[in-house]
Amino acid sequence: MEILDRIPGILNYAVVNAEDGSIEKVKGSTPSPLGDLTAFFSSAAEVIKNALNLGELNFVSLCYGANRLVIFLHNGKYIGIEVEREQSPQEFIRRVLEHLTVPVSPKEEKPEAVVEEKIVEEKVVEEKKVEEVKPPPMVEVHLSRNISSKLVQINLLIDEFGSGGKKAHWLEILNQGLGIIATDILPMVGIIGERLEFKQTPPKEKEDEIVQILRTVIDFLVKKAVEEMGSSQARLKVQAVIEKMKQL
Amino acid sequence: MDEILNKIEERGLGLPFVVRKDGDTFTSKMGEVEKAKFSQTGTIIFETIGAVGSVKIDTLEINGKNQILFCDIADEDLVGIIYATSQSPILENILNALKDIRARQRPQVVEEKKTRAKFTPEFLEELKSTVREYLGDFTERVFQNQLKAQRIKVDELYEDEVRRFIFALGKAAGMIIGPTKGKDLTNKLLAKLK
Repeated sequence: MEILDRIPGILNYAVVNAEDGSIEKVKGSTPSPLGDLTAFFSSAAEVIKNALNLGELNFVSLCYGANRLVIFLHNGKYIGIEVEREQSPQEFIRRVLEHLTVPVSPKEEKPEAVVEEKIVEEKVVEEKKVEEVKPPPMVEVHLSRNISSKLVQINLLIDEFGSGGKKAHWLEILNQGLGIIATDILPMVGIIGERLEFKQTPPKEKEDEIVQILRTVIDFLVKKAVEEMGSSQARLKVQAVIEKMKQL
Repeated sequence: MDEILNKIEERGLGLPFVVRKDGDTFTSKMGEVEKAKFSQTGTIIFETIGAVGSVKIDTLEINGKNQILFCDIADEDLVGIIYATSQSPILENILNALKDIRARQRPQVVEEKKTRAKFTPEFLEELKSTVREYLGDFTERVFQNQLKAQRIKVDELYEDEVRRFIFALGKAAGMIIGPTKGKDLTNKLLAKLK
């Protein structure tokens, strides 16, 4: 499901097991209880769909504040993707499925299998399908020097503050910061492979604004570092990042 | 109410219904046979929203292969419409029908709002200056982001909206200054409402 990290426009997402309703994953910087929303509304939609004879579920879409949550079923999981309210649910489902659907290799197809075995195998194939999904081709992203420099600085700060096994903690802090400070650029950025990255080329006319937002994210990270490790230790780490940036 | 619901049905825009939180349900002539199901649907939606708590959900669409349920949800009721999936191309007309139903309810809503205190945009500035004491340089960005996230209209500020905004603001601030100070800020802002 890491593929969802790379799709521009997806702000956050949750994955829920359709069989038992358990929340398997919530990713992103949302303050909304995305896992609960996906689990509760997928289950409610199942009941309503049956009561009102709506037919097989295409998707569920709910709007709150400036965002929209689109829930749909894929390979036994309910995927809930949070996008901007104005976006079309169908368009995003199409984009996600395009990336998630990978043809099964001929080796895995065994048409002569007996029914019971086939059911078991289908499950295995289904799991393999999910595991073997290839990342979507990276869209070529062009960043201005200013934006790129701020991005590098943020990633170096995360490396430095998160050294000694604390990286996951600092990525979580970064996520929180993005959720409250950087909402305007959330559709364009994501944490991909432990690094903050742009998923699409940001519009030129918004460069100054984006740089300002990234600068505020840096201030936020430094403030958190001072709180967590004290000002002298935080200063040393920020200094180390500045040195690294000089060498780039 | 019945009149507008019947008109929408006659225009072939699907089956409209209104479910109030207390269970009262209204629908068009043809919808009468489904009334109990509409009522049950309303209950499920209100309960599900209640279960997730803090999120103010205003629209819900359940899109099926045969039919689509679209709901406009308010605090005290929901306006729903069921239409065939093949009718999606006339979605705009269907959504306008929903607006018509809401407009029919509006006199009552306007009356209710008149009795509630309205806050001026200056009140937001007052809140902002308190937030600044806690968030310093982060104030402007956090404040604007929360206004946008909560879809607050500065020229239409009633207590419910302001209260919702304050809680969101306190929660966001808590991520910067810690939950205890965040709660402290929330309480200070709430005190200004009185």
